[in-house]
Amino acid sequence: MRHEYSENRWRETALLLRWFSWRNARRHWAHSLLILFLLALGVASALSIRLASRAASESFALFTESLAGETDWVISAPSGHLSTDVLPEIREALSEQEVWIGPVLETTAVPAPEEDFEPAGREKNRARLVGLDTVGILNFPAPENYDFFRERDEAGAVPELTGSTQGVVAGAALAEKLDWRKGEERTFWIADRPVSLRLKGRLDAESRSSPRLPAAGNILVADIASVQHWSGREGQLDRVEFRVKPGPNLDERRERVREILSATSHGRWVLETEESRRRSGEIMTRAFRQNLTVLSLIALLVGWFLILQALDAAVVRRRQEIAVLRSLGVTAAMVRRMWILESLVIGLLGGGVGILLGWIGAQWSVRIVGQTIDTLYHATAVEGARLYTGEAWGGLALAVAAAVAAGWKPARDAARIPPAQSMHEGNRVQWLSPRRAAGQGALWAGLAAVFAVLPPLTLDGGARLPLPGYLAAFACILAMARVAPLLLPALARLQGEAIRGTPPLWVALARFRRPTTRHGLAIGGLVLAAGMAAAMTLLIHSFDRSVQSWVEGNLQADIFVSTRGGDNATAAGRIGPDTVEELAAHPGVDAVDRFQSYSLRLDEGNPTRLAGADLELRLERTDLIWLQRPGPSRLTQKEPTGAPALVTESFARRFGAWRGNRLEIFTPSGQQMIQIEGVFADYGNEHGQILVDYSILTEWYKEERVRNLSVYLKPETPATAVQQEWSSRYGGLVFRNNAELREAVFRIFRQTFAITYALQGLGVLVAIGGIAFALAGAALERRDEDFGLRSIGFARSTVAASALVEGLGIVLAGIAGGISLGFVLGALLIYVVNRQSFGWTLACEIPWGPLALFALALLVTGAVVSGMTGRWSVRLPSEKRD
Amino acid sequence: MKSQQSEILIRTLTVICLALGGPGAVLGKLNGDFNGEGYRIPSNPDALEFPQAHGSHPDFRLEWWYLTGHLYTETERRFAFQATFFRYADPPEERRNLISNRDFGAGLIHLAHMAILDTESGEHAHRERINREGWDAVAKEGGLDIRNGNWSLRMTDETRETLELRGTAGAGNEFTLELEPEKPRVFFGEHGLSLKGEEPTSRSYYISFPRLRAEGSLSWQGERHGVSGRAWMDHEISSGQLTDEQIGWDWAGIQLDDGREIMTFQLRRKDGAIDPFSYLGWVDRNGELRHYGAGEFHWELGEEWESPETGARYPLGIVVVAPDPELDGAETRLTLKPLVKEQEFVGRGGLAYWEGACDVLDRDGEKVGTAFVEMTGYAGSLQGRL
Repeated sequence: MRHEYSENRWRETALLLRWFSWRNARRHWAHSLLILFLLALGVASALSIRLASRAASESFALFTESLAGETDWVISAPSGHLSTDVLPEIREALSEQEVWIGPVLETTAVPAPEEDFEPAGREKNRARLVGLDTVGILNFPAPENYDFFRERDEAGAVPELTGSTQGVVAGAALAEKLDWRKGEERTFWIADRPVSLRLKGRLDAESRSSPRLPAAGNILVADIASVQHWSGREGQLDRVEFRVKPGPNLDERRERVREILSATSHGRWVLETEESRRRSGEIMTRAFRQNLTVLSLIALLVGWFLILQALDAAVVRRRQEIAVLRSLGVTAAMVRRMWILESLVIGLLGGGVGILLGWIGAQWSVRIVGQTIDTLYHATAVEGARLYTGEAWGGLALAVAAAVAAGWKPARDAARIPPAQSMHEGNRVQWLSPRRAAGQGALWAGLAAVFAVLPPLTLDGGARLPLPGYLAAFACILAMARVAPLLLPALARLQGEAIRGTPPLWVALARFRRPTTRHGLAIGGLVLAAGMAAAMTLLIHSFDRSVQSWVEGNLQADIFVSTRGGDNATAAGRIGPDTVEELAAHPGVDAVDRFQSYSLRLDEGNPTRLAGADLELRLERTDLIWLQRPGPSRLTQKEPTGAPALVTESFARRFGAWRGNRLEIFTPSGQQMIQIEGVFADYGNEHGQILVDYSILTEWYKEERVRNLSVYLKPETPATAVQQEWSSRYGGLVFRNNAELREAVFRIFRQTFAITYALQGLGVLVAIGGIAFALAGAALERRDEDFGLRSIGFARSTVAASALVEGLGIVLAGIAGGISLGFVLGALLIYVVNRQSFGWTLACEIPWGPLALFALALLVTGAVVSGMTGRWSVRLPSEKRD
Repeated sequence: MKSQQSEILIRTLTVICLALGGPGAVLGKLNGDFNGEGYRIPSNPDALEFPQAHGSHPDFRLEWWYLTGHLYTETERRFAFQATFFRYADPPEERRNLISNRDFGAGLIHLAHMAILDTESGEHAHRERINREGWDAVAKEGGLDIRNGNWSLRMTDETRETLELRGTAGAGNEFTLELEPEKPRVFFGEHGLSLKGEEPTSRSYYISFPRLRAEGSLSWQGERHGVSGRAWMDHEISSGQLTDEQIGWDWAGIQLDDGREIMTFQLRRKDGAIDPFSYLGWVDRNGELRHYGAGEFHWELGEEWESPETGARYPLGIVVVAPDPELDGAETRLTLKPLVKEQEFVGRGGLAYWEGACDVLDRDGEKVGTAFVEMTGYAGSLQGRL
């Protein structure tokens, strides 16, 4: 019986849905589409950022994945490279173990430009050149599965890579991009040398047994001896991979290998699994990705607010219809169910569209996210973002949850409509309680203040999640959304002859004296959307200014020298000592600052960087922004207490190490002690950097190659002449003059903010869309009143003008609240979230101009929309209720 | 589809194995002691100085150190092993044009095969390993010291010429043996040169320890045993290659309980005939060698066994019929009966051969010794693989 009853119940609800909701949706198709669009936009923004950042992370996973299939253990130097001398030692230590050992060396190869010259730093085809032992790898299981052993060269023979002076196999994608056919030669820049490479075969992702391998990326594979030779890195390795051979007691033997490798390390290498390597890559970008996720969720929140507002407005609009239904015997429960079901359908449809838009958006955002990660963190090869079923369901669930949550209150309100009263009263207006709004606002503001001072959560690998900061931002949004509508009564207090003599003003201001919940929702939505956009503007502007002053202080040299393709975080291109000497010996050169850096693991493997520069020269010629200025002691000589070092603010905050602290680090020459002498601001990377004198670094790393050079010319030497002379002579190097480097630095920083710009744009778009909703809702709510005004003699134009004024009032209150919220959110982002996640303090700079423009744009949009809705509402015949 | 690995493997194995018994092709005109490709060719065994000559000779195209043996635990559980270290060199001119360094050499390839037979279970575990000259594989010049991964063979005492051999055949299967010659080394072939064909390039230095006392430990499926027994070692150096006419060969190293040994091989030609450069050498109790040419002995092939893995049909249970120097040249018949039929070695490149431990039975079926037999070219012609 119960089953039958419930079946009937749902059948009736479905009938009602079809008859009532569907009819309404068709009649108000524009409104319905707008709701769907807003929901879809929110879901799309969250989903596209999720897909893009996952794709970028996965691309790193591909890079950590061994070309020889799965490995059990991987060792790499805690900093710099491993020496090949460790190999026999490891083999001896593992002599009783059945284990495959695979040494790997990687570097960067940049195709030399041919006809269309790519500007320096924009080498899209920069390839990851992987050196493998092309004989030893045959001992790994099923080597015939690796394409480079299945491929045929131009003569139909298996490509001979071992010891080849030219032979490489390339990822199919790279070969396509370069239109490079088997047997053909291409010149690549490897380190600072041109190397002519001959394509022996192509790695084709489709034909590979393991489709996860990065065959499709910009990858070149060659024999390790060749890569060592080409890159000038004889005797060096980047990592060694181990795979324990299958057989009895595999886990035990795997563990034994781990024990032996740990016991023989003596700090010379870090032992990881493939999984933990992948994880450390994820940790590197975690703060970046988390911030993106939160920002994308804010976009969804704004969308949600607007949907809530729209559904709520729909209850008002359809009030009399509901009353009719109730009079015909439809129960309150059924009305609620119908309303929820309608929200569910909106959620499903909006979610579906959102998934589609999200996937499309991801194809665009993945390049931006990938580029950012490539520039700041590590090499990526991702070019497209895939959508997994789980994520699609997740997006749909998000949309449905948002829609149902937004529909909950309107459903309850709709169900509570008593039939008789509704027929009699028409629109029942819910007045906003100023006291309650102020109270709630104060409560949220108090909570925001508490969250703002709480410390961040510390995650694996030292990454910090500023969750309290985000909660503070959320509380601020709610506080401002509650408080901003109280601006309306304040506006209403404006008195004067001019107002009294202008009926539209008078009418509108009279309405402001007692704002309704509709006003509250409209202003709340606007506040949120405008606040988000304003906060982004503030953050981006502050970052831009901070970077600008940092760049101005730092970049003082006349010419900057780096290798081609050396603009990403892990580019392995280096300038050899002979070249450095030649450049320094140029008669026009006054001084040369050499810079070299290595990744470094500290405290349980947390990644950071150790760099070397000619410190005295750097301090003399540049203006670093000091948080803790070093004393007068010499920074170029090692003291008994350790090597003097400067650290960046991010490093100091991340590792809690400030001036006067000492740290122990592992370098290829063993354990070293550093003494922190000063802390300076740096926006280069959030993992921080230790800077020691170049002479100390070379002593530790036994390597004289440099990452880049800052060249100071003699006063009478023209920079452009030297730049031209060098550019024509050293094709593998990029010479930028001061202005060009500044431009390149800003380009990189702006590139990293591309997603933020997109979210800012989204905020503006949603804010403008929200105005339409807010004002249409307000117009609908006061339609009876408008009709009344017309009945007592007010002209249509007066009524329309009053609607315009009311709309402008709402927009003004929204803008005021939004911009104020923007300031608060901006401050939170700058002083709490950024400092906690990235460890740097930005100089807060208020972008008055852009903010004013933004406010004006909102105001104009508000005026236009108010005017249109006002005119539309007065044209409504009195009997037409919606 | 052939892989680079299989090509290296086939090239190496075929050349190496044919050096054992095959007539060499003309590799080019002789240029003093070098052939047309620049490899040195065997010419004067007296020039070899020992113990240094036990080491590697990279001037020659290929070289191999081949050890087989029969081992017994204290409880008389019987095992057999095979350990082969191959070294292959690219032509010197080509080698000069390769990028090579101490850690990752080019132009010198080291291949190794290891096998353990457990007669109790009948299981035959075998493994192959290939490496370039460098950090993980080396065959030193000037003395015997060879390593390929964690497999190794080295001379531990140059006066007594004792050896240490370490090998594995999968996880849990490993052996470490001390090997001591019970007889002095011998050079098979007339005048210390093992001839493989009519051409002057078709010859090798074929140096053997035909009887080594073996002692050490062997782990089988994780269970460790103390073992002792008898082993055989060949070291062959050449620069030869197969001819078009040759499709495979059969080889046997026989250790008789009366203290004598026989090494014999017969080369099989396409037309089914036995190549005239087939050979049999008797080693008497004092290590004195007596040579017999193709017309003086013959092999009778036994019943065919079909490999379930490769489908190759090997004529196992062969009978070697040869004059016995101790019986004034009267014919002796020795049946080489496999301890287990499944002793096929299948390399990763698909190249398969049968390399198995046998008992040696006399005319009456009495066991009179032990042997190792090698049969190649049954899983497809080797020539066709090149």
